[in-house]
Amino acid sequence: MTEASSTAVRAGTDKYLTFRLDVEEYGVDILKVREIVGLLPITHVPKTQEFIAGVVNLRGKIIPVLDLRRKFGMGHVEDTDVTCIVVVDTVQAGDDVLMGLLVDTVSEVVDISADDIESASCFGDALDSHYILGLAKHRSGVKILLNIESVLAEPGLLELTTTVAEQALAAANEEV
Amino acid sequence: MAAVRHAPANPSALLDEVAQALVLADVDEPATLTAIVDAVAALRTALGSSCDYPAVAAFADDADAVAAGPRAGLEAGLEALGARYDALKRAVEAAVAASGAGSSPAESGSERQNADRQPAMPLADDPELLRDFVVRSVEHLDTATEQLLVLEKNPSDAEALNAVFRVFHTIKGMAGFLALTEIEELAHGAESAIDAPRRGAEPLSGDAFDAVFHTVDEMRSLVAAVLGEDGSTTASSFAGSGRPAASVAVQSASTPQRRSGTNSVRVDEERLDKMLDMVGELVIAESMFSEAARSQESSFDSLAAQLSRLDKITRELQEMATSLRMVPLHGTFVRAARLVRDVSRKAGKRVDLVKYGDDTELDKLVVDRIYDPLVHILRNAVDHGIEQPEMRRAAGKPETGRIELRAYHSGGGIHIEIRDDGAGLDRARVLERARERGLVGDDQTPSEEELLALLFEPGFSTSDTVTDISGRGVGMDVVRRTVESLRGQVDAIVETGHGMCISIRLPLTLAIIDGMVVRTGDERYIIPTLSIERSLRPTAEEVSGVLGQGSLLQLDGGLVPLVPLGGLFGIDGAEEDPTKAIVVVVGDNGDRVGLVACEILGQQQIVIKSLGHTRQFSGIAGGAIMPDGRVGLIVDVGELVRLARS
Repeated sequence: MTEASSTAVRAGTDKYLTFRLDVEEYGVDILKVREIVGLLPITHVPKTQEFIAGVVNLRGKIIPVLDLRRKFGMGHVEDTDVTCIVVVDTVQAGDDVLMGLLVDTVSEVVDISADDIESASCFGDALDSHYILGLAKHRSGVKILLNIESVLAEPGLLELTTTVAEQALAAANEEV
Repeated sequence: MAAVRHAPANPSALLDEVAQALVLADVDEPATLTAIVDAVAALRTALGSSCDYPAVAAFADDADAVAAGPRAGLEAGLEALGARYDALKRAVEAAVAASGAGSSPAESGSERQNADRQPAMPLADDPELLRDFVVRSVEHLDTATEQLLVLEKNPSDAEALNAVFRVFHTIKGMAGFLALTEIEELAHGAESAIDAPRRGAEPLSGDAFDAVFHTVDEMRSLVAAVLGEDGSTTASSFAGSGRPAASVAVQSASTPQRRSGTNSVRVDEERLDKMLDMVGELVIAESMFSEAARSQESSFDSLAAQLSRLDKITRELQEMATSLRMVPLHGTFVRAARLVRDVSRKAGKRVDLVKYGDDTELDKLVVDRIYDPLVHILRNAVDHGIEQPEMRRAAGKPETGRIELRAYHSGGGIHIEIRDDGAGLDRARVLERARERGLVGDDQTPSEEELLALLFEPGFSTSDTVTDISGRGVGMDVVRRTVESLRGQVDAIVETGHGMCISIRLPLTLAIIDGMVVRTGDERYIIPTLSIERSLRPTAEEVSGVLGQGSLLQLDGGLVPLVPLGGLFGIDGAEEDPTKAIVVVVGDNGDRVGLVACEILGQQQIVIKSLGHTRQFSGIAGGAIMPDGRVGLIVDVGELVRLARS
C-alpha cells in the first residue's frame, strides 16, 4: 500500500463525490471539492500539456481546468449537457490551489466506509495505482477513489506560477 | 476617553488616561487638548470632592488654562503640564493608598505587579494600540529624518530642531505608555542629545548627527519588530504571562525583519467617503436600471441612457478603488535623502539633494519596490557622478554638487528622474570597457543610444575601484530589471561635463492596462497598448521571406521579423499571410517585432489576473476577463520579442 493511500484509508466513513468518466465511476473526497459548475467557456492556453483543457472565468477568478479524460488516456468526446467542471481546492506545496476537473457528468455523493475500500496495489503493475487511493465497493458499483493531490501534482503541471517579472525581481533581490 | 464613560472609575486607570491624553496631545488638534481637561476632570471626580488634593486641582486648572489659552503658548504650556504630571501622580497614588480602595502604587506601566486587584489595563497587549503605535511611529521617524536633514544643512533652524525634539518626545511618551521600554530609552537618549542645542548650547556636530541618525535607525527596527510578521501582535502572546512587553521587542529585534510589520495602507478619509458615495450611487443606478428593464413602457433609448450612467459610475468607482492603493513617494524620497547624506559623507563629497514632487502618488507595491533601484542610482550619482570638491572648483562648478530627485505625472504614467550635475559619462571609457568585455566588436562604433544601453548590461561598470559604495557593476542591470518587472522603463541621458540623468517611467497601476484585442483563428489575444508602435497591413513588396523559415517586413527603412501568432501558439485556421492579415508592430527595449494576427477587434481596459496554478507559459503574461465573460490571454511582448530575436 502506498503511503498516500494509507493515510487516506482511515477508520470510519467518509463522503465522496462521484462522477463518471466514460463508463467508469470515480470518487473524490468531498472535503476537497469547492463546488460543481456547469461547463463554462474554456479558453485554450497555447503550449500547455494536452490534458490542460484551458482556463475559465470562475466569477472573476481565473482557474485552470484539467481534462481528466485526456489525463487518464481516454478518448475525447464532445461536450454534452451534463458535462461538468468539478472545482477542487487542494493544498500543493503549502499553497492553496483551485483547479477545475472536466468530467462527463457528476453522479452523487456517497458514504463509503473505510472497510469497503480496497487498495489498488493488489492489481500489481497492471494498473497505474499512483493516482488511486483505492477501490470502493458500493451498492451502485465499484468506485475508483482518486488521490486528487497526486493527480494534480504531476511534474510541470503545478509548478508554482512565477511570472517572468517575478523571476527577474527575485534575481534582482538576490544580487542586492 | 473610554474610562471616563465606564463607572465606577478607578483613580489609577484615570491617571493613565491623563498620561495618555498628555502623550497624544497635539497643538494642532484642539480635541486632544480637551481630552486632557476631560481626563483630569474625571480623575478629580473619582477622587471625590470631599478630599482636597492641591496637586490635582492645580493640574486641572493648568490644563484648563492651556486648553483655553492662545495657540502660541500651547507648546510651553503642554511641557509645563508634563512636568507637573509627576506631582499629580504622587498625589493620586497617595490618595489611593489613603483610601485603601485602589491598587498598590504603580511605579511605572511596565512594572505594575499582579497584586492589582482590579483588572489592569491591558494596554501593552492591545493589538489595536500597538498597530496604531507602529504606524504613527514610522510616520514620526520619517518626519525626524526629514527634519534632521534640514537641520544638518542649517543648524540654526530652531523650527526643525523643535520638530525633531517633538518627534522623539512623542515616541518616548507613546512607547512608555505601551511599556516598550527599549524604544522609550532610545527616544529618551535621542531627546537628550538634541536638548542641549535646543537650550542654546553649541549646535550639533556632524558626528552627533551620525549618532542621532543611528538612533533613528535603531528605533525604526525596534518599532518594526513590535508587530509580528503576520501583522498580529507578538505582544499578545504574552498577555497572561506577566512579562513586560518590552522583552518582546527585544526578542523580535534579534531576528531583524526588513519589511515593516504591517501590510496596511493609510487611506484618506475623504477618499473613502467619496468611494462610499459612489457605491451608493451605483446601487441606485442599478435599481433604476432594473426597474426600467422590468417596466414595459421604457424604450430602448431610456435603457441606453441608464446604462451609460451605470457605465460612468463603474468607471469612477474603478478609479477610486485604484486610488486607494496609491501612496505618495514622500517617505521614499526622505529615505533617499538620508542615503545621499550618508554616502556623500563617506565619500568626502558635498552634495545637495533637491526633491521635487514628493507628493506624487504611486501604487503602494511600486513605491515599496522602487526604493532599491533608487538606491543604486543615487549611489552611482554620488560616487561616480559628483566629483570631489577640488575637481569641481577646477571645472568652474560650485563645490557642492547637486542631485535633483523629481517625480511627476506625464503621459498616463509616473516619471521619476534622478539628475546630477557631476562629470557625466566618459564615453570613451564606456566603449573601452565594452570592448574589453566583448560587448562591442573592435571595429564597431555604437550609436549614442546603444552606448547608453550598455550601462544597463549585467556586471558593467566604468569604475576602476570597487568601493563599498559602488563599483561592483551589479547596480544598473538590477535597476533595469526591477523597473521592467514593474512594467516600467528606464533610460539614461548624458551630457559630458554636465552630469547625467536617469529617467524611470512607471505605469500608474499594476492591475489595469490598456490592451488591444486581436483575433487569430478562433482565439482572442490581448496586446498591451503601451508596447504597440503601429499596426498595418503590408503589401506583398514589403514582405520578404528568409530561407523559407520566416519573413521580414520592411518598415521605415529597417527590417522587422514577423511572428505569426497563430503558428506560434498552434492555432488552427489562423491567417498566416501578412498581406491578408494585420501586422501589429510591437517594441521592447528598442527591438521590434511584427505580430501577425487575423484582425484587430478593438481596444479596452484590461484587469490583469493570474492564470492560477498552471505552469507559466512563455509568451503569455496573464489572463483577463473579457466583456463576454470568457478569459482572454495577454501576450507577453517582451518574451515574444526575445523569442523572435534569438
